[in-house]
Amino acid sequence: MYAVPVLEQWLVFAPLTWTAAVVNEPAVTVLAEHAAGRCGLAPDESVAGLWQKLTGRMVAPRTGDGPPKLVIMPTRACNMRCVYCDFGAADAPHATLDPRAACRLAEHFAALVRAGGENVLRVHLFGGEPLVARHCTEAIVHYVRALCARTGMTPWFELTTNGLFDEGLIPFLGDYIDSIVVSLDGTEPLHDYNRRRADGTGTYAGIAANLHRLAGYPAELCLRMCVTDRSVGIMTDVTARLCEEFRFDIMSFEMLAENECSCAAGLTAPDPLSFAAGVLAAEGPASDVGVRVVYGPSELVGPRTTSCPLGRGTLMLSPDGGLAACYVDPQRWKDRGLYLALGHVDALRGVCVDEERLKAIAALTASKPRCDRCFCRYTCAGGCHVDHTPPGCSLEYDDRCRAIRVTTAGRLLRYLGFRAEADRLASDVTMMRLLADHPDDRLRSWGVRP
Amino acid sequence: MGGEVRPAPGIAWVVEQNGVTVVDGDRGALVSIAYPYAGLWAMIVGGTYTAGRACDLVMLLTGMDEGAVERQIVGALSSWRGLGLLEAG
Repeated sequence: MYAVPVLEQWLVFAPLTWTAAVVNEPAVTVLAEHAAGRCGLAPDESVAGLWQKLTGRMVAPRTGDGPPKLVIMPTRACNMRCVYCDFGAADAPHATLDPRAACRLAEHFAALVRAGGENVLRVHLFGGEPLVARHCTEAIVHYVRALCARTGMTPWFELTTNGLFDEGLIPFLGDYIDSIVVSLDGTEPLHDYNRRRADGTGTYAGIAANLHRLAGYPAELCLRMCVTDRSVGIMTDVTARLCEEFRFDIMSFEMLAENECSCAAGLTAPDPLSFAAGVLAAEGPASDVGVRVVYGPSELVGPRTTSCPLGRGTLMLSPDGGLAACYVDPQRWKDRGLYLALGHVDALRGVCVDEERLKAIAALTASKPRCDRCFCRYTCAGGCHVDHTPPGCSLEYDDRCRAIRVTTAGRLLRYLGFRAEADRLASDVTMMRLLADHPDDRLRSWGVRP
Repeated sequence: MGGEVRPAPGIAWVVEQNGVTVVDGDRGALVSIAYPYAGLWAMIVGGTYTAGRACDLVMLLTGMDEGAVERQIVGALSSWRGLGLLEAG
């Protein structure tokens, strides 16, 4: 159980019973006494009721947002040259995945999903830019659909794209893909500075034309904006403008993760409190038109042990046939002392997965010393296990933690019906800072707070 | 098997979970196309049909050898032409 300061009150949150409440300080003290087993103070009736709910039937945290997903990277190559990209797309070999390897893995994965009592075969097509390898991507989609037709399963496809693709692909995407994630970094000048063609020219106009074309199809459309120091102050305006210009379903924000490329381009990570305020404020104009605002680590989907694909049993297939638990370049996780390779898929010999390693990787998410005292322990659950909370990382909250803590608290307030309080929190830097830097949220540490 | 093909005028189609349903608006007829042929249909309407690509896709979907797949594709295209669903491109 946790308690964090929100405005003049306290937000009490028990993620494992999925119970939250806004209470005053004396009430937290009484709850903390009970948490510590010192029951000398008799709680009044309302606190007694809350105590019962906070300590009620616990829900085992889910390993992710649902059943595992299969992530397939048809290529690591990309037709764009975004200034902050450190995926190495510019130098990536133009190798394309052998679609037969993807098919072998789909068969293997379908059997796992069915054995787990699920019936939906979830496949995420990722890159590089998966549509650069168009024929491979199309072949995989048709194979998986045929497999599902044969086995009575339901296919579900997600495709992450930069949006700069040939118009002829629109019917394929609209008809065969369930959820399309398109990267769009805001309005035209912001986007075109960040996300460019190989010749340096902007890509907004081409992507916008494709977004308009896709709007006529039933596929769910998600716009993903990488927020930088330049765009953090106008997240609400950008959201409102995009909602006006396009028909889409989800506005997803992420903070720029600084790297050598982004620094060379003069881009830095956004201020975390401004980012959190931006996420919370953007929910207003977005919800007016039925658009859902998403910030992955702060989504309130129930208690979970990971908010990233790693640790969910997700299998990621690279163009070279390698299987891993994480999509980033292997060198990056090796640099952080992690070993996330899971095996290999061969078009002829089939699938080789190290099941023990899969379990060991899932267990990584259980040990998060930095997260122990944070009320987001079972919602953010450590964010990116490679970049944000790798083993041996500092115990201090970093800027991503601060953004996630404020956003999560604001969302819990709204979840409880305290909409005005959430708005007030998002506009009060002092209160956001107090919450973000609260040293220990655990109710059992209440009496020993500095 | 070679040569360009495209949907005939008045032909519409709906992608469904297990395949494609082709609608001949003029005759009020419905034709259900299951896999592997649904993949072939997608290739034709997507404008990426070539004999080689069609063969590769159907081989992937069925695991059959090239000769058998070629015969199947020829049969499917001929049947669809006969039903008035396709015309030469």
